[in-house]
Amino acid sequence: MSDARAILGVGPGKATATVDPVKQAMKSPTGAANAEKKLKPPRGMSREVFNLLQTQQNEIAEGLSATPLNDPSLQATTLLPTMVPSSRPKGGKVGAMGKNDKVSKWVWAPFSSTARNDGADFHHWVKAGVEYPDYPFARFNVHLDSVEYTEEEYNLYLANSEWTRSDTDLLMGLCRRLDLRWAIVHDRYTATPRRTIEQLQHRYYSVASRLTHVRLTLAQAGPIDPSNPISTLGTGSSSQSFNLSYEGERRRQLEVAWKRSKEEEQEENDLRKELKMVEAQLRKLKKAGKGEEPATNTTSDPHEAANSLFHRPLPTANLPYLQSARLENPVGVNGLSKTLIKKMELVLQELEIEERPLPTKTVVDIYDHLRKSIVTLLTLQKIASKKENLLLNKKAEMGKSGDAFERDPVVNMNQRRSGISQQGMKRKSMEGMSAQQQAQHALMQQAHTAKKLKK
Amino acid sequence: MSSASLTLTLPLIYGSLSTPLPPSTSSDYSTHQWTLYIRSYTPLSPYIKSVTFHLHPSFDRSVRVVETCEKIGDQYVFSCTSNGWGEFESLLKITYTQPTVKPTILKHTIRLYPQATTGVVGGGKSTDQRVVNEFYDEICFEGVEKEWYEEGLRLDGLTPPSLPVAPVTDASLLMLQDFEEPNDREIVGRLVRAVKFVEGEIGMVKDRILRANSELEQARKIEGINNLGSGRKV
Repeated sequence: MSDARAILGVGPGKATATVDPVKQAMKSPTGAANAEKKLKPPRGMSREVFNLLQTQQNEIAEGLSATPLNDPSLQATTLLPTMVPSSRPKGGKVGAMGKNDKVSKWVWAPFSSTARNDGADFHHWVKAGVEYPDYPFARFNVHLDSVEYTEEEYNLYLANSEWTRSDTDLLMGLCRRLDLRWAIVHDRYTATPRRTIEQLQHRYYSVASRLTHVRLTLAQAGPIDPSNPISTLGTGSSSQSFNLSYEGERRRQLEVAWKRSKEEEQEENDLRKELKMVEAQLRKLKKAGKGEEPATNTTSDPHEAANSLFHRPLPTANLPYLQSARLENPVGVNGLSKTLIKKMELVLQELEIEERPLPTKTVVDIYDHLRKSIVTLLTLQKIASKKENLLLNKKAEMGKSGDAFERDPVVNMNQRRSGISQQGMKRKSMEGMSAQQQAQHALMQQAHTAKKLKK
Repeated sequence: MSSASLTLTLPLIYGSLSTPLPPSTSSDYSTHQWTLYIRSYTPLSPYIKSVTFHLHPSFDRSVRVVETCEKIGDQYVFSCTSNGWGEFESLLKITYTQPTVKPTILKHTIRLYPQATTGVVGGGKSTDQRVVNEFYDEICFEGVEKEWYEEGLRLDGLTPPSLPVAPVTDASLLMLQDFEEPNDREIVGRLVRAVKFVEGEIGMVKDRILRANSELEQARKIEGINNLGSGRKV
């Protein structure tokens, strides 16, 4: 209703509609009462949405709402939409100081920090009359415990053919001073031979952890020696040893990723897309040929898998069976998937074998053999197309660098296949071998064209 | 127990043969006379004790047990004849002379009107047409007792007077004499050709797999070299 009124510009709302409630509020301290009558939508909220909220609010007020509102406090909170400010600060701007508020006094004062021991003189603004025992941020000045060792310890545990004592000392000093900021440590480490950042890290962490370990074992073995503190655990080392080769590889990979050119990045993205596509297709095929999967997985030879599916009924004495029962296709838990059976039936149809050949023993035996062969063929076809897809992927991956792959085996393969199919028993049979094969064929060609485009 | 490995195969043909009745003769809405039968060129009586025909429940005596084996030409027949107006699926329960052997149940739909699967004998007017709907099958017994097995062999091809064979009672059954014994030569030939074709295809697919394998191997090698050369991560 209020919507229509607003459009027409009539009705009881008109009188206040032209008056800004904020101004109203500023004029009189009781302005809130007026604002409640005609609320203005907050900035950025469309009028329609605001009206919806208002209608809802009215419903709640009239007790028509579906939610039970017996709790008066709940009612109070739901009466107004939360996005509408329920009250306004008196006197105008939000956050401004009141007239009678006092301004506190700040002074420019010198300070000293325990974090610095060079006696440098600094000043800062502080509230007058507030005294700090220490510079408040001094507590963030945390340093690693330095890795220190005696001559004896070095010779016993830390000697290394690649590191001299002096080099190690220099490294430890730098690490202590620079708090393991490795990039800077690496920069400041000037001893010859130059070492990589990983080598520095490796040396530092191995020394630190070795020392900690040795001291801990000594402390456990003998009486505690106060002059040889074991609390030097804050050296940044951990029980896990630093894997030099892994870290080197990681850094190298990061480097490569960082230095990629735009083209290389684009290529990688393209390949990723292609891979996704091919994977989706494979999944589809897998889904289509489900159930057959365990057979191919459990036995490496598809022949065996097929053999285990078609067999005579178990010879049970005193329970004769019909020869024609062997013509049934094995579907179900131990049998083949329905899709595979369908494909097989399609092939049978193409080979012009009727659904129920005369069930003499010879016929049934050959028929069994034929079905086995067809299942084997279908399985092998699947494997073949999988391999070929894999090959295509690989070649697409190698794309630019694959100069050795100028000749195209896929095209050869296709030519070869169609050639054989012509001289085969019937062209029709070949064409109708299976819809799946054709789908795979199409996929192969698609991937092939994609590859060509790339080139 | 050497007899355990013996396998006995009993070839037979089961089916129905229907003859249209002249409209005037039907007193109970029946349009056809049909015969449900099991026939074989092998003597059945040494093995089959009886055949129980389960007809549609609306028939008078809907379960009919036939214990007599008729001889028509060189065939041995168990049959059941009736008049009717509708096609339905009947059950044929074969009970064997060896009480330990469990009965076999065949399902058969009696056809009165010609269909794609049925044979038609006679010709000319449709009222003359006899519709034959029959199937060949073989009953296989695994591990049968030797005596039983040999009894059949001994009787195969000759019908001693002791063998209970009843004279033909139904004239229409005489038709069966003219039916040919089913022959699997043609279908065997087709099957063998199909097997050869499929095996050829298998060979080709195997070639494809081998080719793809070798190419993959090659690709991997090249990839390995490239990786060493450029030092790129894979």
